[in-house]
Amino acid sequence: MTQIAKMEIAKAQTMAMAAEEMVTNTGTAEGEKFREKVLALAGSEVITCIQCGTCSASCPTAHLMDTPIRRLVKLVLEGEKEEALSSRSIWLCTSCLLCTVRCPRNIRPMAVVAALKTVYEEVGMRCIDSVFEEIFARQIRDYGRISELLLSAEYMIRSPGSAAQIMAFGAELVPKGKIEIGFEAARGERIEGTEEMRRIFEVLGDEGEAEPAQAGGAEMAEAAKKAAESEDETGGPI
Amino acid sequence: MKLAYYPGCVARSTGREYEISTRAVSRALGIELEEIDDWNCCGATHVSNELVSTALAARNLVRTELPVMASCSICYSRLRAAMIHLKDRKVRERVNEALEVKYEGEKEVLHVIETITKALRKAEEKDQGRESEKSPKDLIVRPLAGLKAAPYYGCLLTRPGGGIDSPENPKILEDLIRTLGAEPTDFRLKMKCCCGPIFMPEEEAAAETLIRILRNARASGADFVVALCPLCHLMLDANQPLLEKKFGEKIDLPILYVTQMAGLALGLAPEELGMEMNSVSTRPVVEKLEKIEGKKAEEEGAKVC
Repeated sequence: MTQIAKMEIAKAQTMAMAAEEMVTNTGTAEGEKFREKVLALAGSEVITCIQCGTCSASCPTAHLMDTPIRRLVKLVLEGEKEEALSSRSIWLCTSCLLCTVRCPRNIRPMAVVAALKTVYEEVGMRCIDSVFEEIFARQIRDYGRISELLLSAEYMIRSPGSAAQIMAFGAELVPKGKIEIGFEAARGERIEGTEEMRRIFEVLGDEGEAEPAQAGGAEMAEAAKKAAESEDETGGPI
Repeated sequence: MKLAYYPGCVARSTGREYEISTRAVSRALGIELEEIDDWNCCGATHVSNELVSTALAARNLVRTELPVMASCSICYSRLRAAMIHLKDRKVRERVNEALEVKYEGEKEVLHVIETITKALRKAEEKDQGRESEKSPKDLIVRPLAGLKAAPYYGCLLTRPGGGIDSPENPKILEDLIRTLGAEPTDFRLKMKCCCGPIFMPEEEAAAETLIRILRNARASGADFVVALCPLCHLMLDANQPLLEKKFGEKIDLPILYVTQMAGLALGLAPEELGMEMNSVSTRPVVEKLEKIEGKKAEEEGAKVC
């Protein structure tokens, strides 16, 4: 590489960094509140971030992300709520914890992503990925355990685009006896401590803030589940 | 030895053969497993609220006095992460507000690979004159000599850090493969995340990574891949025919659970290890082993004559 090309790259990088520095929302009340909320969830040490980029460089899905993890942390610290929450990156995190193992400042970048997911759901935003998490959490709360059949069925109803993938997997797993299909299986495995499960989610979940309103697909899923549980008087999820 | 066993939800569905082989191997090693009463899901990677996920793990931990063993790396990582959070008095108090049985003091959590490794190490001590009922030779009755295994760690066995091995470059699985008589291959992508946690909504993203992992394992010369986590296994095994179709190439690489591999070496029959339940046929592994054993027996027979 020529010296000029190197200088050009360095110049472009400096300009990109300067562009990032320009606008911050920490001055606004909303931005400040967002920043404090994420710091409360992910740890106050996040403010010590030096923007070294070790997290982004370690991330197995970085190449798919519109906003690298390093920049997500920066957006949080600058109170850029809208930009941070609308990034697809938070749903591409696999929770592999490599960023957290490597961070030279002992920050947990993955916890920042988890906090952003929590805030995303709290403010009532929705996407295919958050719907999946919502179904997952609700199954734990109501049954205590995850049933692959119920999880797949409900997700398929709420995200019809996933049907082909789920069916293909089912064709692989059902003949092996790994996923049972039938009335008993559709009821799901329910533990005795479901009251305690509910309390865990109510007392500790989202600091008592109300759940976001359910999208249209939810009623369908509910109806499907009710049909599967017709004997069950405790009813479906809230 | 007696351990509390935390199966995790996957043990009852897509990871059935992991549970079958975990129980079989534990029996063969003289370890009694007592399933945790009324256990609940650990939340896996899908409960973003840390207090909730910590409480979910804590409810399982308080249900036994025994050390807790998990086979699933996600469950294991969640239980360990929770114990780290619960060291903080404030977190403990908050979590205990929701729990019926309160979390007090420290717990011990083991992954099944740790249990197997420790049991075999203890047996080794007998050979060195220390007390133990069995020597490794009594246990490893069918060494896997001649087989090559790609050690696939995935992410969460060693993370958060500070656990059984290095979170960057662990070797516990290579060591076990050698102890069992097989040879670990140089598998460059052994720590590459399988992307399983985002597979449901982000299939495309996961597929690209998965095919790279499988190609790399194949190129390392492995007869099979060893998996430590049922989600990694699902992504590499049940998903393998779908990936083959998607990318138009044949992979045909058996993916064994660590407990299936160990079970074979402990002399258990493939049926006792649920090996017919794997998607990609595990027969080639057993057949190669039989062939090597046959050849060895022939050579030895020739020597005797």
